[in-house]
Amino acid sequence: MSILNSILNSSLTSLRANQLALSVASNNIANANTPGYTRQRLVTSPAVLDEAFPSIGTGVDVVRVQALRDQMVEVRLRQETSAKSGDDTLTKTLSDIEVLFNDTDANSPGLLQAMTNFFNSFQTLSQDPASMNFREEVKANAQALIDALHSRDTDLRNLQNRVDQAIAPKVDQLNQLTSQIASISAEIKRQEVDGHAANDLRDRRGELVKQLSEIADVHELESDGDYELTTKDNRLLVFNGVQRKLAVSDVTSSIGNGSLKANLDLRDNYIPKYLNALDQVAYELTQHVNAAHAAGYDLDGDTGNSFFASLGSAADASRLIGLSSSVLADTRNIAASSQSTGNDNQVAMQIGNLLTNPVFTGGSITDQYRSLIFTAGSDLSNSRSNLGEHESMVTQLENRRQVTSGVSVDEEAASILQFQRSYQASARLIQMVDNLLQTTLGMVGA
Amino acid sequence: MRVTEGMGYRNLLRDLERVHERLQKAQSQISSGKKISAPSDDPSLASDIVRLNGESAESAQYQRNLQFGQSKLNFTDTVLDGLEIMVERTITLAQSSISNATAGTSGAMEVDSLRDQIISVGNTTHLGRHIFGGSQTTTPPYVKAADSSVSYQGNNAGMSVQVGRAVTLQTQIPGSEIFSGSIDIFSTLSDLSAAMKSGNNAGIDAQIKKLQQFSDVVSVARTKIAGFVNMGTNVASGLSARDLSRASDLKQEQDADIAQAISELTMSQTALQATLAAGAQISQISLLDYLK
Repeated sequence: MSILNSILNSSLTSLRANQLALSVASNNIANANTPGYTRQRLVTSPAVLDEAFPSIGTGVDVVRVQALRDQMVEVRLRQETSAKSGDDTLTKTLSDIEVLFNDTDANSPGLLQAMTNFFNSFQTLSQDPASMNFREEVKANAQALIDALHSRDTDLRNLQNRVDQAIAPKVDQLNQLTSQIASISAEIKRQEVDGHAANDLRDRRGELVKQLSEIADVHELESDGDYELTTKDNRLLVFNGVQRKLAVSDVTSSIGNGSLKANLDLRDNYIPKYLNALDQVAYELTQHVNAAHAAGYDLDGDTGNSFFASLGSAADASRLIGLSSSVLADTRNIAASSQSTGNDNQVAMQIGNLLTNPVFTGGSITDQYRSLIFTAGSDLSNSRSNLGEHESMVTQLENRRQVTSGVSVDEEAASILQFQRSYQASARLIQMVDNLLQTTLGMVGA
Repeated sequence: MRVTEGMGYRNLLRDLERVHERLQKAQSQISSGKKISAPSDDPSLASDIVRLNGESAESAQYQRNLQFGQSKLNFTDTVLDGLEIMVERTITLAQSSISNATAGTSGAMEVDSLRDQIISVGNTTHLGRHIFGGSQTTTPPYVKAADSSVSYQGNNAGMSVQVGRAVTLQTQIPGSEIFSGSIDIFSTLSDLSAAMKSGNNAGIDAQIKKLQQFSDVVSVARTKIAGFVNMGTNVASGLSARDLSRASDLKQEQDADIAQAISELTMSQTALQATLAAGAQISQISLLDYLK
């Protein structure tokens, strides 16, 4: 009897284990497309040996539900996600900036064209320095150049503001995520104290950390059941169930990657770099034109006047550049002559020649401006190729993650088949034991 | 390696993105005819294109300056041609008054009127500006005083324009080198007129010599102007030669290889069709189809 009971029992454990395995498989299929879901598997082992009959087992033990996670891939995936998201943000804003310096089309009005027109109008003035029409043309072209510089300065500053204003909401988002991560971590700890693997909660936490990685690079550390989430300078964001909020003032030192870092870079490095280059162009333009202009004589024989309003330094030059009050008041005050009397054109020629004169930092003024175009273009092109590289890495790592953790519906279907048959076999066994028991009982009854 | 359905879809999406990117790039090259549309497409190429465009604009200004200068020089030459005829006529009048004293008075009157004409030649304007006053372009360089003496109000400036990076073209010769240079034509003519009126043949003779010298002065000035015009022509042909080579450089650097772009477009389209067709096949077959 006891042997039959033992068969009954082991068949029962098999029924239970196969049911569980079926439910694990169905859970896998249900989550086949859930982002961050890790494939699970029922781990079973032969049940402890019956002491009376050392060579026969007592069925199957369900050990646990195991999540098939490749920790190494997960960590790298997060790193690459940070890098990709940073490059993505960088590329978007740098594209906006590039438009401001796109002078590759000769027919579209750009800063370079405004510059060329300005100096050429001085060349035209040199044909007839007494012409009021030519003088008005010089003034109009100067105003157009000033407007072009102002508008680029304004656009860059607006972009800088936009990037700066995006930082605080990003930090809020980061803190919201760490708060969710902390509460999930507390729950995981609670569940796992009892020895249950909190696989699904871990998946949810993993997905949140991945979202967090898009904003900033973070490091996870888990040992002895303690969970830590830190920034690159080891600032604690989460310790088990406790969240430490990141302050906006700490981002510069704590963030090494991700879209938040890209915003910081744009605000503190890229945009100031372009602004400085633009300021330098505007400042040197003012200085050189004024130096030549002040040495010349206007139509009334006056000398020593500036063409552009004087600037003290290169700081904010592209915002502050403007016509001097005397030129603004009357174009007769434009100095074209090197003589106090007559309508000599030496000074007009000299100013016109500044277009190609290599007296500016980095050559002529067009060379100087060209290097700004080149810098803006290559910054964007670099960030774009980095983005492509990191996108490929992310795809590759996602695929590697899928190799271990992804759900294959076919595989699950095969498992279902396997567990189904096994369940059927155990059920048949129980039926058989029942028959045997009836036979035994029949013997008693007879 | 385990391959799951998720990988198939992810790879399909990524491949579609890439094909679309290539397709779009080929399309924009074909529609714009340009290899690059923004500096980031190729920063150093963009920098070159910007330089070439800048040089074109610079050269266009030199050509405008050159046209202006040449038109002024050619005009000046015509004016000086007229001046030579007037001087010839004066010499003829003077010579005929030596042989025929009665012609003296009427001849002297014509000389006086020729003198006035030459004053107005000295005050010739081109596009409203005096061309013989040096840089004094807005006021007449030759002013006739009440005693009918003529003084030069201009200066010695040559008034050049820029026609190349280090090349300037002189566009005028100051009156001080012609009318009131080594020979002052106006005092010569006054003296001639006075000598003719008084029948002073020796005086007339002396002035005729001066007039002949003046003819030489005018002819030297015309040679100088011809030299400027000649130089302008050389500069112009240099500028247009460089324009041509620059245009071809620009074309080479900037223009898309349309044949290549079209074949790239066709290839991308084929790739897109194939990718879409293959994508539609993903997971059409599954084990579940065979389970009864």
